[in-house]
Amino acid sequence: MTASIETVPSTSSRPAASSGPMSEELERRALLRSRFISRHLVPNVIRVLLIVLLIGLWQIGTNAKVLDSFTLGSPQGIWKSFAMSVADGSIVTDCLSTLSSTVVGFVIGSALGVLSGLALWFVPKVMRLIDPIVVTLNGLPKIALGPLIIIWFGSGKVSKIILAAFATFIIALLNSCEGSAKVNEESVSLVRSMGASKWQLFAKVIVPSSMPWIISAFRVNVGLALLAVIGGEFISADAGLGRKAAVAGNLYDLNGIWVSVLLILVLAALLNVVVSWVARRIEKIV
Amino acid sequence: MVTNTSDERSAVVSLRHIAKDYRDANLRKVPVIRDLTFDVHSGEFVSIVGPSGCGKSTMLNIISGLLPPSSGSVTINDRVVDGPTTSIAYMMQQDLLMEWRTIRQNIELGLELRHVPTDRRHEVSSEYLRRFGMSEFADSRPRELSGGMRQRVALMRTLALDPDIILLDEPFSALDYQTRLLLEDEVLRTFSSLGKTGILITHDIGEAIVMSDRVVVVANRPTSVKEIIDVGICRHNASVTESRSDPEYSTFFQHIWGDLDQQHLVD
Repeated sequence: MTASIETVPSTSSRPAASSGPMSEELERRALLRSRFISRHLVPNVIRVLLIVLLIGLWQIGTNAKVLDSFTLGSPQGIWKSFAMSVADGSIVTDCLSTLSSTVVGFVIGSALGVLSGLALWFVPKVMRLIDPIVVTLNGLPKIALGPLIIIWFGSGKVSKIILAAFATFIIALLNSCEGSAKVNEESVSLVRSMGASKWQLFAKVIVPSSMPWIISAFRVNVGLALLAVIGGEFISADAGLGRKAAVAGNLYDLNGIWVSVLLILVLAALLNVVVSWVARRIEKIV
Repeated sequence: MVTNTSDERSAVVSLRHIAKDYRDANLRKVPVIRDLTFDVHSGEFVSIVGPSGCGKSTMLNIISGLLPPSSGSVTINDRVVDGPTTSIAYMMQQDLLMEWRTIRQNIELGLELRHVPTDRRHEVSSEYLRRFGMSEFADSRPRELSGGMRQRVALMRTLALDPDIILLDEPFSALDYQTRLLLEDEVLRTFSSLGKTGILITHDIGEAIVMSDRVVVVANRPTSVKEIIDVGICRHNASVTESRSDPEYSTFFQHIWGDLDQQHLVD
């Protein structure tokens, strides 16, 4: 199809123009197409090919006995292990267990953290008092409390949820406090000059202004919650991807470990996509 | 030309010997304002001009009731100020529009805080949007507007509270020059037709001259009133650009410039 404008048949009584809305539209569409190809199609195709190449080389190396499948695992072995887990339904149980523990822990920790952080705005003295304590606690990797929490709460999901919630809570608290403290002082003066009560100031200025900090806490926390859950499952659990990896590890079942790792990767990506989507929706309003 | 007229008109705002001290980092007392005494009359537009760092924003904070003075008193409509009141509104340097609210919601902010019912709020905001020709932006977000439009919204927000007195803290300084001229005119016209009393703080001597009935020149820290000059050329010129060509303009300018305790380059 040529781009010669003059050959476009004109159905109206107007003479064919050498540049008009029709040809501009065609040009725009052609540009869109080429841009899509170069920016999306080609890079993604190359990415897929690279991964396929990697997997292919791995498998070939295994088959040629250059790579030791006992120590490294192999793509075929991974696939077989995955198929077995699907067949006996353990995939669903483990994935759901880890996912639900993460989500529940994240939601509880975030809710408590944000509410406490914002509530502290009303009592700056208390906030100043506990701030160094909270910051110090934040330095502790929450997984260090894993064995303790599991002794207290058992090896079921409750202990994992508590670990995730605790990991999430501290950062949600710190971020909400920081957000409420960093509100533009001039905005506070303005609203005060209009005669606002403390509650009005809180609801109409402090809370909306703190949202960017709270959202950024979400992005960080979802990963930390997952980390806490997996770590807890490593220590002791009834189900879950972390437990699956640990069990496979104990049996020196490399392919089993890989399956768990890849599933955790998928889970993490999924959680990040959801949180990013929620964050963007909220940012549009604020 | 240099007179300190005592008017028979009622003084709406009275400052009597206002002084304000701060404590610096070493907790030493730093006097920012030494003695501020002047009146503003009903319907007047007064500008306060001073050298940089003379505590002009502090002055407005004290007049509006946000900050208590260390000594002295501010009286508004014969009542001593001890906190924000409904008769005085404050327009700050930044527009401080809330990005998460629509334009209309921003204008209605003060009314919302006063629990004015929704339909009445809408009436007021619609009226101001119409007056300033921005009705089509009622449901837009602040980030979609230019700096000049945002300041107009801030002005509407201030006017919606229907205060008698409006304090303006260099509200045009962040705008480009042409938008500034436009807004100076709009503010003057609006204040005139609505009968508002205005107190403007500005670094721009020209702006002070073309907008005011009187200009209060204040000294460097610790601040006090150096001189109050009757200007008033805005009253017999149709716009601020015409006022800037008024024969008296440059005389006033030279006078005020000479008055200000600016730090000069040492030859």
